[in-house]
Amino acid sequence: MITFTSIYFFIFLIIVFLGAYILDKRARILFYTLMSYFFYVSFYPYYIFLLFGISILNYYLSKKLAGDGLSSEIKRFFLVLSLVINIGTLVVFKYISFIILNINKLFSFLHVNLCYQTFDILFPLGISFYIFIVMGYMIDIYRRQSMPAENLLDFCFLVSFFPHLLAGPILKAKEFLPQIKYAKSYDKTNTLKGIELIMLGYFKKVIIADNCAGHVNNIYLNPHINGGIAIWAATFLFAVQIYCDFSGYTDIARGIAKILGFKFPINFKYPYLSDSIQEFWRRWHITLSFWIRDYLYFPLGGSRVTQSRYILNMIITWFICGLWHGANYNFILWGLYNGILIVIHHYMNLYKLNRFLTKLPNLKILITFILVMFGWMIFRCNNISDIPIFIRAMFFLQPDKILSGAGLMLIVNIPKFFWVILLLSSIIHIIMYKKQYDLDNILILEKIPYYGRLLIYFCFFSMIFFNINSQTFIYFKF
Amino acid sequence: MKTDNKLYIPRIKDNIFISDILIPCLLMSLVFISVNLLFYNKYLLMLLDRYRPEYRPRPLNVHIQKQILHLQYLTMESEIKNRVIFIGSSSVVNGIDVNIIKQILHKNNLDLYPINYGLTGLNAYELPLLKNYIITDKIKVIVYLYNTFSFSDNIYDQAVIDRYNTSEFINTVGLKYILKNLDQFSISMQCEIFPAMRYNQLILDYIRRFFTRQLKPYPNYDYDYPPNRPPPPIRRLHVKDIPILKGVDWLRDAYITSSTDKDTIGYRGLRRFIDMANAQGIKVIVAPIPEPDFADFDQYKYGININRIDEHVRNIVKADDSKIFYLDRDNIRYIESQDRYFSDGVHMFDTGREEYSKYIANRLIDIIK
Repeated sequence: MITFTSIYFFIFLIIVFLGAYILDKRARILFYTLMSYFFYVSFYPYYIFLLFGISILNYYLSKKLAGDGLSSEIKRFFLVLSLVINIGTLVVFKYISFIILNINKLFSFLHVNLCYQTFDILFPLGISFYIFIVMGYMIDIYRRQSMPAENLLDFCFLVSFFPHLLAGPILKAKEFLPQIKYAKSYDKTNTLKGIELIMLGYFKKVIIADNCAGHVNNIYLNPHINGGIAIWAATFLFAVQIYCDFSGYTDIARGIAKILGFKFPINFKYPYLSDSIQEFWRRWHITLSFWIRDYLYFPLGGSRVTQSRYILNMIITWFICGLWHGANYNFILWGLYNGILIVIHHYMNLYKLNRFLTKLPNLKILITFILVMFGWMIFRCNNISDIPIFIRAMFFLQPDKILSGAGLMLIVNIPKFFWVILLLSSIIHIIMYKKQYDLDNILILEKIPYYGRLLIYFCFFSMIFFNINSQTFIYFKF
Repeated sequence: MKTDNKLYIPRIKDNIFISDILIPCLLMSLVFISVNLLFYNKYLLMLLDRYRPEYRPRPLNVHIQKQILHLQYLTMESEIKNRVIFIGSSSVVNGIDVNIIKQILHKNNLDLYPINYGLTGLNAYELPLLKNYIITDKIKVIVYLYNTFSFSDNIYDQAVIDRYNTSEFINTVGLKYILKNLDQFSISMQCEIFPAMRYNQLILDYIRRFFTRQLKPYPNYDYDYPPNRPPPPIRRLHVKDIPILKGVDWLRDAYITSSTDKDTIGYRGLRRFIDMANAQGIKVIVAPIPEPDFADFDQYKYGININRIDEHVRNIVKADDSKIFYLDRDNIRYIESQDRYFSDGVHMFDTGREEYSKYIANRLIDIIK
């Protein structure tokens, strides 16, 4: 159970860093891979066979795909075989109960007495992420956009490298595999940048996201006893929570990779400061958005098709994007909601219906943020049947209940200190956006004298390891 | 490398791994281990226990950590032997006056020392988790006073990191639950090993009170509310006012599962606790703590079949014929029917506390004699 906010992870990380320092290049990759497997085993031992099995099978098929002398039909067969295996694995472990449940519902709706047993399968952590990495790799090889991994070890390392294993970012093999040869750990600038990213990630997770979680949970558990203000406030806090939780995880992952000499792609670029929903999806969970664009949306024809086909493509794309997040109707609905917003935005741009907003960029940002928040409500609600309750409250359709709810008191009771931190962080965030800082190039630690850095590390450690009210990373369950 | 005929020794600062990773990690580990070792010192615990914070106004986790620290101190403390401990939820914290019980026991020449081990929100599944504090050779009798929400099938999230024991948790709740809530349990395991993490909020509270000059000895009463100072008045509900909770609320769900399911983690915890006490030769008395009749109309307890809960508990206790005793709810109906004895749906006011303490002391004498 080496979770990112536990002391075991701290010990695990020291061992990995020590190994990276002592071992030579080739041994290091083997060491990282074995440690990554150990990391995964600590969650649920049996699923290591799944991870390893997927790696071996796809490595073998990728070699076949890349081989010369095979007809394109046979290559296509290997690609389809690989996709069927990968998607099939995902369906079995993630969606089977949901599918059976819906078949049962459908039959009961048709008055047919047929009831299939659902399975209570423990969800293999990170499966959606590593299956997507593997599928992207196979498709790239088929398209001849990438070469297969040189050996099985490199491929297993790509799939299982622990910083990205549980919640991404979704790596592209063609960008990551070449790094294996030239990775150089403990480059001074990269190490300090890595430490900086790790600290930033933990700050987002432990100080901001986890402090929002309790208040959000309390209100979302009983929406019917909470009024509009409480629900808007909880939804705002959830927007903060999910951003800090997920981008915090990504920062930690990118920081660790940087120290070890690898470069992970950026996953977030000031998403809440986007001026349209389309822009938002170019800046939120970038690696997933681009994956879906490259391997699903473009092959379907993208937007260079008839209008009806474009709408169908969007529906399929966003349905899959929603479903990727989990086997639940609210995720599907959330995906479709985003798809509809993007289609509307597309036509507004096409017919220049949003001209009046061009001179009001801040208003555009605000409208986008409100639309995104509304989407988060659909995403976060515990049950799809709760959505009408939320909508009634959020549109203030029950005037007598606007201010009601113990939840409102909870939000009022959030320590002022937390609001101050949130406000200051938001201001810094906006300034960085306005000044167009490249998140990868800001290096503050290098400018601080050594003993000052030591003091910062000490405060940081204390903050993490004496703050134990930690919540699970939201994206672990996807 | 040699420069100017002198041996060049690379400075620590030149090696980023040593300067910015290894040294900070070693330093922090040293500080971390030292701080944790301090919590195994009896005299420090005595000092911290003496200055533990009062109930209000504090976050709930400070309160829960303070109670566990108190139990840890009582376990280390060696002077008080022959203990009769009263364990249960905050209903026990506020519903047992050990001074009244002590007087009655001593009048009857019983050399027993009653101590209130009540813990906020204690569920029955937590009893085995507390074995290091409650199954010891200093304890002769354990009186477990249960609420009608105590046998829930859910974990009490607020206390899981403070009241935790890995092996007992696996035995009572099961490994599958842990696997589904990994983050929570990896943190709970840390807290089990490292007391400085277990008491993190409490430590912050001591620091805050020290710097604001509010650090003062704990008052000489055990209750959450000072005697003769009533807690905020309760808002009496009528049936038509009750917004029925759907069962997603922790407490509502606890009432429901306690009354509907027979094999909850709560009932399993009680069984396991009885076995453990039996193996140690400790007498156990299981009894309901009084809950007011008017609570039947609050949003948490509305529509719950209390008799079924009592029956489940009675069956568990009677399945074991050795040193386990069950006190029936019928004997405390006279307390439950009096609204004036209660401050809310689960807590007794000082009048109720006095009445119930007399009752339980007399029953204790009957059983022990």
